[in-house]
Amino acid sequence: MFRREKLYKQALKDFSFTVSEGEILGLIGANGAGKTTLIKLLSGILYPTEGGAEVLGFTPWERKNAFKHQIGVVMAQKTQLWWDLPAIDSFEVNRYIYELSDAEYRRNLDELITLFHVEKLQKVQVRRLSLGERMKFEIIASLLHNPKVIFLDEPTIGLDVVAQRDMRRFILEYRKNHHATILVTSHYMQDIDELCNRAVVLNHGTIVYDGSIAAMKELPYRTLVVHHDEHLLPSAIKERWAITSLNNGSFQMRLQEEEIKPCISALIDAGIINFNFVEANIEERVIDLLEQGGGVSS
Amino acid sequence: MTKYVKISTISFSNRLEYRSDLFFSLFSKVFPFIIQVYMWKALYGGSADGVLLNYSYKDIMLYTIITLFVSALLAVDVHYKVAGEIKDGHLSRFLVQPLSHMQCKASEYIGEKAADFVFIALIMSIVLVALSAVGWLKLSFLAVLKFLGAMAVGISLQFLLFYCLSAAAFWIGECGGVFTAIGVISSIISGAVFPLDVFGPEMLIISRYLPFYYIVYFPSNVLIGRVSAVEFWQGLAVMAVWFAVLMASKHVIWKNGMKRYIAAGG
Repeated sequence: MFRREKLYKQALKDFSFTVSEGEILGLIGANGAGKTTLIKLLSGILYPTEGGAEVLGFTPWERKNAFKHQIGVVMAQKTQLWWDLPAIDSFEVNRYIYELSDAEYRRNLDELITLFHVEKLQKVQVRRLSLGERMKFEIIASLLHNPKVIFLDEPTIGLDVVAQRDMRRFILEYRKNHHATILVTSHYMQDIDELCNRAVVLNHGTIVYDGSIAAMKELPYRTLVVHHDEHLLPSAIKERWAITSLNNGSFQMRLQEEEIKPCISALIDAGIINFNFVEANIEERVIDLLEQGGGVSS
Repeated sequence: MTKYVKISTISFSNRLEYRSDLFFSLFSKVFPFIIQVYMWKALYGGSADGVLLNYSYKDIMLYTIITLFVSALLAVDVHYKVAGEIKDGHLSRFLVQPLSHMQCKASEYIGEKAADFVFIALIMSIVLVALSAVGWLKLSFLAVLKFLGAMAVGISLQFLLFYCLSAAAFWIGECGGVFTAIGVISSIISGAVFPLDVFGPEMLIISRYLPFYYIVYFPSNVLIGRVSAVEFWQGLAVMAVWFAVLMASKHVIWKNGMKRYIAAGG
């Protein structure tokens, strides 16, 4: 009862990847897969037990000031704003921390405030803001010094759909103007799909996919959704193709290219005509990757 | 204006957001004082010659009043704050910014305390003038100057001591109990509850080599006039040595602690 047993978990295991300048890389993985640990390592918050990393020519965990001046970190669940004061006061503090000139500070602040349309809220106490509003200010505070590398850990977590969309628009617009390199983690595949050119999928601390978003959508099968009660389906069809029921009374089938024709004919023969192919989405692919746990790289 | 001055000024405004809390936290210090007054009254009532441990009733009252203000000026909560940051992962936000965490905390401390300082110093001045008017205390400009010097070094020592202590959170996580225990012990061995003479001459000599002696007992006695010029400079020298020792310890403790930091939370 008094002796605690020590449990060690290897958060990240042997893998390596490189991010090029100006790239938006999406980090995807289940809870506990190692995404946040990776961000903490690359931003210098954690020391690794083994291994190395180089960001902008620096070893992050040496925590050189020259390095810190060039990175921006947003951790959705850790506020860097002064809770009892308006956000503008936190920005002022950051202006001194990053030693920004007046002109630089004004220019960057105006740009960020305009991009997010939060002119009126900057004088409201942070604790009175909604989560979505506060996240915008968190991001502004982290980008005031115009960092070259930006780490965004779940920037859209807990936000409503409109705020999520605003956040994505902001990130894209910002990257266009500043050509910053961005590492973003998210559980919302729409974020990854719209924001990133490339994704790294982590599972149990290893990379199971590292490649383009476009390639993620190239599945070896197509998904057919059939709007029909699966219980009324002829057994010949049920036995031949695996079906997955959907909760709206329809079901879906994954078909290889050569199976499409026979399957559709069989359905039509059975008098079922209400079906459609759905566009491949990365969510499905990610679920596959995380469930298989196998390594795929392209 | 440097980044640390800015952090101090913003902490000052932040503290003013909670003016009533500031008032009550100062007001709460009056109650232990009342208990002490009654305790000494009872003790001196039972003594034949009216002198205990070389202190007359008047001396002990004077000591109790002065230490009330000194402890109020010394109140530090940096260990609770920093241990919380370590435990819940808020420390991370300081690690990614071009800042020294200790200097940042010291600046916050100065800013937050500035409001308290002004208030305490004001009441203290009134009380001191009153005490010297009734002849309990001989105030001289030099004594006040020496007291301010000793207080400044004492506050730095106190801050540094508790900043080092906050690193305990790297190893034990939840520190509330440890901090409460250490807080009580430190207030006793620093002389905030009663003069260190209570423990006998041997302990008094030993305590001269500990930093706690210089936090409350020493500056209070400088103001009262129980410290000779030589003792004053000796005291400052010991404080300087402790300051250096604590700075070095802080470096080692934090360097090792940081390797255990897990940056909890998403």
